[in-house]
Amino acid sequence: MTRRARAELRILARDPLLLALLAGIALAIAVFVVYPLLRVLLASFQADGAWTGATYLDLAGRRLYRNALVNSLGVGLLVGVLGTALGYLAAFVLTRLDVPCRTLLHYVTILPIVSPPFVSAVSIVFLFGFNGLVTRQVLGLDDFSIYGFHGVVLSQVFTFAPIAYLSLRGVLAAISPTLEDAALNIGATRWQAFCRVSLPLSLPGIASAFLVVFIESMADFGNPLVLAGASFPMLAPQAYLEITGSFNLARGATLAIVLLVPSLTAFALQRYYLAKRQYITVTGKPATSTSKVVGPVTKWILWGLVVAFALLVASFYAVILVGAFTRVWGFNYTPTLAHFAYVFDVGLQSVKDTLVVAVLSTPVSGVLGMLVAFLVVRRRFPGRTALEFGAILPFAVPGTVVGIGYILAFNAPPLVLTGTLGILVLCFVFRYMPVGIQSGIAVLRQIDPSIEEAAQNLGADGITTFRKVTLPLLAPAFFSGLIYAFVRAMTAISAAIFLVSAHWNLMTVQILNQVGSGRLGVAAAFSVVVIALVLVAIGIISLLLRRWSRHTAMVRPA
Amino acid sequence: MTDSITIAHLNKVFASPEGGTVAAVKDVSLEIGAGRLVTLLGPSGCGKTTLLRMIAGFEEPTSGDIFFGTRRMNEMPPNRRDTAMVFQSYAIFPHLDVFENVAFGLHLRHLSGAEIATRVERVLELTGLGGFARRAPSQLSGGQQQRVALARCIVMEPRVLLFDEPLSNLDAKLREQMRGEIRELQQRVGITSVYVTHDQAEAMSISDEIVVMNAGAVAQRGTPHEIYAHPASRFVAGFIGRANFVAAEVLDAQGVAVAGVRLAVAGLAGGPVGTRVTLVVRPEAVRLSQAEEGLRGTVVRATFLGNVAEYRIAVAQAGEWLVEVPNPVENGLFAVGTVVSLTPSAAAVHVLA
Repeated sequence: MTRRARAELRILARDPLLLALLAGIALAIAVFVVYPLLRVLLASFQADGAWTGATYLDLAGRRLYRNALVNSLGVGLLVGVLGTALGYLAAFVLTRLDVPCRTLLHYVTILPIVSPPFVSAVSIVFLFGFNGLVTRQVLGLDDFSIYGFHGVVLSQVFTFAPIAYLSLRGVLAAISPTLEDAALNIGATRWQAFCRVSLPLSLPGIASAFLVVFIESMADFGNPLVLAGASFPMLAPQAYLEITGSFNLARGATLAIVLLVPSLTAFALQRYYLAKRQYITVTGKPATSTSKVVGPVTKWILWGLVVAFALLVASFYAVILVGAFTRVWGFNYTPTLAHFAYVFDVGLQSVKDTLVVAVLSTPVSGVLGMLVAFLVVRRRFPGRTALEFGAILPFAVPGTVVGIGYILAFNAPPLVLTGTLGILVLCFVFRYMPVGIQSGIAVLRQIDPSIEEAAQNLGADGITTFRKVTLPLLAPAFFSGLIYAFVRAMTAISAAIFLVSAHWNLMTVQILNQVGSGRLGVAAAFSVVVIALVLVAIGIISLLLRRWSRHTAMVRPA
Repeated sequence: MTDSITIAHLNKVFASPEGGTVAAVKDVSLEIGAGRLVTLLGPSGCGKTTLLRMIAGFEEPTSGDIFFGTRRMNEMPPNRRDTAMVFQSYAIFPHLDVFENVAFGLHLRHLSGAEIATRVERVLELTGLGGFARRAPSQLSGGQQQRVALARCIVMEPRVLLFDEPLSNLDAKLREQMRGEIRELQQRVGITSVYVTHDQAEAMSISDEIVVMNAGAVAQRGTPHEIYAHPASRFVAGFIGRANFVAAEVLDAQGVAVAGVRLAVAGLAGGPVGTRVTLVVRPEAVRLSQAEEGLRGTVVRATFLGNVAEYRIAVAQAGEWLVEVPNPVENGLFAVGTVVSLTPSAAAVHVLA
């Protein structure tokens, strides 16, 4: 150990409680994040109890798996491009242009974020499936198939463009509009001002949004499972099928590693290369000035496109809602409550289970996330970057990989957790912590460290400082982390599908099962219940935030 | 109970971002008597804040010792040192109101609610925050926030009070008022205080003693009077107030020669005749006249400042002098180009070796 590391530990040891907590968190991350991944890696190199690289050669030799890789990458890249373009368009129109209904359009645009990621897949089947409303009833096609490449891309663009939108919204809001004004002032045309000032300034943000969408697309499990079909294999569902269908753990693990590599590469690029290249031209004054680089005609065209997307989103949800009350979609459109009756009868247990898992994992995930942010930003200790990396890592790891890792890691002693509530809660706690950590870190960096030093100076130890000062100041990040963790816990599928059991089942898994057995009405009813629960929870958490932060308006020296 | 502070051979070395090391504090030894207010004064980057933060426990000394009374504090974490610090940014807890801010430390000591209320009320009264107990920090002016920071420290009745440039965020008028209040309050509570500032006027007005720091080391320590009248070095003379540095040669025990003209100097320690020395001549210690004798120079610039007239005067073979003459409204102003005679007051001229 270096002298510096020893000195840092010595200082930390003066606050034994904090040191113990740090050790606990580090251990937990090692066990529940790193160890399962290692198990996947090890399993991919093992066959019949011996070390081998044959699994990879075997994979490379078969067209099915080569196609799965090419298909997943192709979909990921295309969805990345389309989703980012759509997200940029919406972000630009809704932050920089003076157009009507901006708030309403904003909320409609982000609606897909709070619903299970494959709700759109169900909508698409309703609209464009073999008995789809548009394809069969309206257009009268009987040889059209939505299944395959185009179906998956359509569904994923719809699902992930809102993520690009949210991240680009922040990027665009951070670029001062006076820069465009300056370009126009020195004689640039509008087009020149946009191409040579606005666009280059947001380029790192655009690249970053692209990579995030790419990661999400690669990791997506539900949409491909519903829409890819047998002739269009993709990595995530294929890995799942290998394990649950053919009980071939080694091949599943190998596919998982193949899936992990592009995701991790994109993550590393986004985090260690692009993050340092974001331009932020914060002037301290709110950048509310509207953009002048867009002429009146262009403005209304762009606005029209955003409205069209919002209408599409709204119609997808309307279809789900109507579908949930329709007897048999495509054949018998008489209204019925039968699907909801099923959800609250046969499906009630899974509704309860989902809520229990989400309610247990959300606060733990939220507090843990803030603690990690606090430790990483405010304390010096050996292995700090490693801890931060380990804690953020689950963001980049596809749920399928995590699910396989948890099966491999916790199926046998020393830690047997499969089939329990614990494994679901632990999985969600660590999977949905990174977003809270990242917003916690961002907020903490803006808070004057002397506020926490003042607490220490007045006699507070590390934990007391965190509890009484840091956490209240982090309230906005804490609650947005809570919302994220809760939404994801309610809508998770890719890892959870490996971990559910007869005793603990989740609504999302139910939705997939219902889709699989063709009972779209029940799937829609489940989806409606999930979305309703999520919206209620967001309402409650927002209310809590308002009560908690009575006057957290930051004090600045005069 | 207040304590004296002893600092012995304290060093602090930081790792610089480029990979090397930077010595922020170099072999500083100090003795601060119980109940005294000592100012650490120096330009930014001189190590004064680092020294203060080591006393508070926020930085770990690389070597050397810190004692409060006879207790060695080096390994004591900041929350157990019983110091109270007023931060440059005030560091008021934005989520707590004025009362809760001041009560924060008392709560941590598990005092009864009634006792906390009594003590907080008393200190709020003392710091002129009587009616503000339930205000949110964001509803306070800069000066009031400053008072909250002060009240939060004083209510703890700590062993040591620490001030890290507490007035640097206030405007000039308020700064003068607050430094008077801080001095008064410190003398009333009698707590040993260390006060960091880069403002020499602030240091002069509130300190029992000033420690001038430069490049991590102590350049001079003494009462404000000692440091102003008898600076130990060119750096100290230039940092505390303004000064003309004039090359001179020792003639005898009472006089030196400047550009061939004899000037009387009090307190010349002698030194062999012919020794080259530097004189520190304060601008306000020079009398100007139109007599045609002594040291003469031409007015290059004359500025009317209200309470004083400020002149730049080119003196042949003795550089350009800065001279301040009081009460120009009554005394009038020498025009640019006027040839004047300069007479430094013998008692106010200081000789640097």
